[in-house]
Amino acid sequence: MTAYDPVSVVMPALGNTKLLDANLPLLFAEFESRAVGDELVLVDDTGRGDLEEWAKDALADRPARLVVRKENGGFAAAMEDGIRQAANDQIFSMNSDVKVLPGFLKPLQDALARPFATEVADRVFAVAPRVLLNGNEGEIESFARSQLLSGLLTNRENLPRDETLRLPEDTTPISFAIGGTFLFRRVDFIKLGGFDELFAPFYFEDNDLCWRAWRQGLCSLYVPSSVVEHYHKGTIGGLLSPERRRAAVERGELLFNWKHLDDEDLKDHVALLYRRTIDAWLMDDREALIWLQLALDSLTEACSKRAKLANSPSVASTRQIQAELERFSGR
Amino acid sequence: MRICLVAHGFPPEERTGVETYTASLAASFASAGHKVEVFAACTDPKLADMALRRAVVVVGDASYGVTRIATNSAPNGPEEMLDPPGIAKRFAAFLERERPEVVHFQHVIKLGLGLIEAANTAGIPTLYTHHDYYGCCHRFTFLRPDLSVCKRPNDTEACARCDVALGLLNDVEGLGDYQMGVAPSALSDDVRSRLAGLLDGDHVVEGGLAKGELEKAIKRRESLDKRRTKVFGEISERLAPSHFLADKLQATGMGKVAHLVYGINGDELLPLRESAPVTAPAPGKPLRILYIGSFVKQKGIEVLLDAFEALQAAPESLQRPRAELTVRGYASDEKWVAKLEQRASEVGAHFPGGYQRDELSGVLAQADVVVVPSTWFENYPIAIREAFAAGRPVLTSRLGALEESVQDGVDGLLFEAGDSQDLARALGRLLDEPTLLEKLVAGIGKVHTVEEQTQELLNLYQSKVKHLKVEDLSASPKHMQPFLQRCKQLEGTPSRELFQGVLGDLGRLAGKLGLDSEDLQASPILKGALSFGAEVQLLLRDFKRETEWLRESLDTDSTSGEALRARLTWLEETLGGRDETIQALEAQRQEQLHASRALTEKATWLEEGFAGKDKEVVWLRETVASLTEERDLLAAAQSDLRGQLDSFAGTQADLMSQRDSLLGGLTDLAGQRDSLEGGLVDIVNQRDSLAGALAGALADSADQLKELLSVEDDLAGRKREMQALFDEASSPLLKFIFSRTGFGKRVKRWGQGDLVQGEEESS
Repeated sequence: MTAYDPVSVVMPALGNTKLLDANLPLLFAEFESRAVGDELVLVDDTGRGDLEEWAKDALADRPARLVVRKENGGFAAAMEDGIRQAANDQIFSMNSDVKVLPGFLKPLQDALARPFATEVADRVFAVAPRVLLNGNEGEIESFARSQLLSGLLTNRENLPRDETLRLPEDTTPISFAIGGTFLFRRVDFIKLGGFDELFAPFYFEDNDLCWRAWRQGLCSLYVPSSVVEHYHKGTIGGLLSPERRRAAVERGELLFNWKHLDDEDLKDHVALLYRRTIDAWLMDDREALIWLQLALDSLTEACSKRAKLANSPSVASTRQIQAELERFSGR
Repeated sequence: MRICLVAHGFPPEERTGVETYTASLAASFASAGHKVEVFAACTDPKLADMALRRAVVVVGDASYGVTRIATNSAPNGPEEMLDPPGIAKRFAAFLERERPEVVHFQHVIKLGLGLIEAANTAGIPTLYTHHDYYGCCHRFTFLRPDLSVCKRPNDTEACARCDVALGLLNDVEGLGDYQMGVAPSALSDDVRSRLAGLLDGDHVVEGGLAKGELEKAIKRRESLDKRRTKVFGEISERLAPSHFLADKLQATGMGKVAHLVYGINGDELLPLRESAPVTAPAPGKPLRILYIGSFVKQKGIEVLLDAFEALQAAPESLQRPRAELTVRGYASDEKWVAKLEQRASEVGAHFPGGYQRDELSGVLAQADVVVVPSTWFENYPIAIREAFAAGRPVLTSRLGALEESVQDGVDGLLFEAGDSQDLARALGRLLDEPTLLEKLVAGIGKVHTVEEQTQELLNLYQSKVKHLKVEDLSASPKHMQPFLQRCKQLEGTPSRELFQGVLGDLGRLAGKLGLDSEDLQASPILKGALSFGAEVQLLLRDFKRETEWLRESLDTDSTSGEALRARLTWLEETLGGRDETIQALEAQRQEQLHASRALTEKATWLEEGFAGKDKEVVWLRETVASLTEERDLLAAAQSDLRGQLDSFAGTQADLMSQRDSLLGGLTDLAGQRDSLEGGLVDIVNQRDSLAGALAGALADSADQLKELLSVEDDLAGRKREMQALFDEASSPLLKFIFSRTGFGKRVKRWGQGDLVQGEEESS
């Protein structure tokens, strides 16, 4: 039997103890069954120490630590605090509304340990389990595919059910590992510079991190043999109206593009943005204008980050990465 | 602040009180740095119903937007009068785009109560300035269809009777614009009698109403009035510029109505007090009377024309300074205006028609007094404020809220509403009392300006906004707050500003990415392209609306067929028109091609004929010189004529002065005559007295005569006795004695009667 390295599960939390009470026992059970010294680093991101009292009982005699942030900082900041405090090199990022299924860590660790050669990457940075949205077999959240269309690199969403059911059974490269559930090495995370605060308060920080890794020759993988369930409760998404949540997603996507698009795609991209703007204006689509403006608020910072990336050595361009991803997804 | 003003019309198409007032408010807010969007109804047959068109009005360095919604179709019954279908939905979309912080309604007739509800639903504070009685009378004037003043406010039956009476007028041909009402004298006997029956009859059947129809109308009116009061009650702040109106509105139960007077734009009017002051009427200078405003029937213009006629026909008019009347304004009822014009011509009044807002100061400069002869309650006529701003006293009806506007004998005069004789008397006073006009001018107080009102309204708006329930971001996780704050800010930004902001930043993005100039937004090409975009946007909205309408119509069983056919006809006409336009443009293009060829030929021909033109130029120069001479001659003649005119004016003034002097002499002569007549009476009395004295004297003389005759008889007896004695004593002694004493001569003379009794001849 192969000996597995212990994993530090880093979990930012906003004070929903019911959720923790429901989901942590499953995680601790997994730790217990593995018995390799896994730990939970629970980061209290309420900024008020709301979990301290609860943790005295709930985490007593558990392989767990509570890191209390003095100020609420959001997912990325909390994760970084937790990673800093983690005892192990392998980190599993986990949202509090994720319910793990027995044996979920092993396939992930296997995939992370094995070399996975693609045309543009020869090492693995991140591995994501099969995330069942709301526990539904037909809704896989983590098979993250992207497409480059008309100057926009975008995530493909809402896979049709029949397509979902045809998803690969084997480990496959993906654009990125979703931030709420993925395994990676701390050292790689630090080398890559962690999450980019450009995307604060949330969304697309995981896309960006993984894409930066791809550019450095480190891939992200979908590992369907590891399974967790995601219920989208109690996390930031639940604190926002659907309109504002969508605005954050759209903003993040644009910032991501401005950082990572190749020079040859910029013209199409800007033309597309003009077209979107005019379409939004003509069709009274205020929301699209708001998304654009939210992203444009950070255009200077995004362009500066882009310039910094351009000056760093990279293995692959965005087009090359995308072509490779498409090759693997059979397109 | 982002302010939305709503009105039932807007200049330049509509230029009466509320519309002009709304425009001046919009300009004032915009000039003070606020963002103003006006939503107004318009009638434009070139547009489909409910089509929206936005224009920008520039005011100095500032500007504001006006979105007009086409309301071409007349409402189909009282329900649609109160709630025209579809407009509220368009207004809700307008609010969504423009994101005002406050909506200030000026009027919702033609637009509907639904607009107020749309603003409330969007959570925007609402204000409503009542400019008339729309909030408590569905006819908004308290005038019944026979133009009489309603005596039964808030009486549902009376209101229902107005509904059915108006229904009667709907069926009468040739009344012109009868919505405000028709004077009974303009109706046939039959219609007049039926109208009276419907309005006041014991049995409305007299008006030709089917049994039960009035009850139905009452029920309907009850429901509509209830809705109106409810919606007005939900407005955040109700305002009225007169106490009279506020009281009437509050009587409906809609809640408190605050009193806030209008401010007017007096920038161009206030200087008139100095540059063209009103002075007392004088010989040779006429009293200039002016009416300004709309030509609607309840404005009482015909009362003024009658009064002017009476003023001129008065016997004392010969001795008064002259008076002139000018009637200026606007109207939609051409028949009514034609009648007024005819009447004005009969009484010798000027009737030059409408005027632009920027002409107002010129119009008022030519007036000494303004008359507002309304026959309805009015509210707070702006014409009165404008007159006061220009230093012109106002004569107005003693009716409704008008009495709050003019102080009788202080800054104007009041007369009985509809009483042309009383108005004529008031005008006559201005001619007869030389100091009255100047006294009234001096009595005009300070006028409340639009700037002052702008500040008052802003304070009100801010107080309303302050009390809004705002999203509490502090409850959100701290790291999300900047994002949420920005979302909130952008969600409150008008779409147009969002669009402009995004375009500008996209230019910057393109610049930073090394693609293009950062100044893309300033590119004239981009600007041109976007201006096409605005047209496309309007057409897309039209298309969307038409599609929605068709869908709704198809979902509705009743009336959809007919309505669809009407809309189809409209579309066919519009599309047909477009085909024709395309054909016309093609024809025009062909014509231009031909013209271009012709021009080329002509150019050749011109070159050939150029030499000949030199001669023509010389001839033209000579002609010009000759015409210049002629012009100078005419100018000299004109100058002479002007001199003559001045001289005639002088002569006229002299003649007037002579006339006045002669009138004075005539008065003196009449005084002398009266004095002489008094003297004559004295003389006659003296004569009578003297005649009496004479008669007495004659009687006395007769008595003396009788006495003398008796003495004479006595003397004759004595004479005879003396004769006898004489005869007896004719002795020589006696003769001697007699001759010595002269007695003999005396006796002889005595005997001859020459001796006066008592006289003795001295010896």
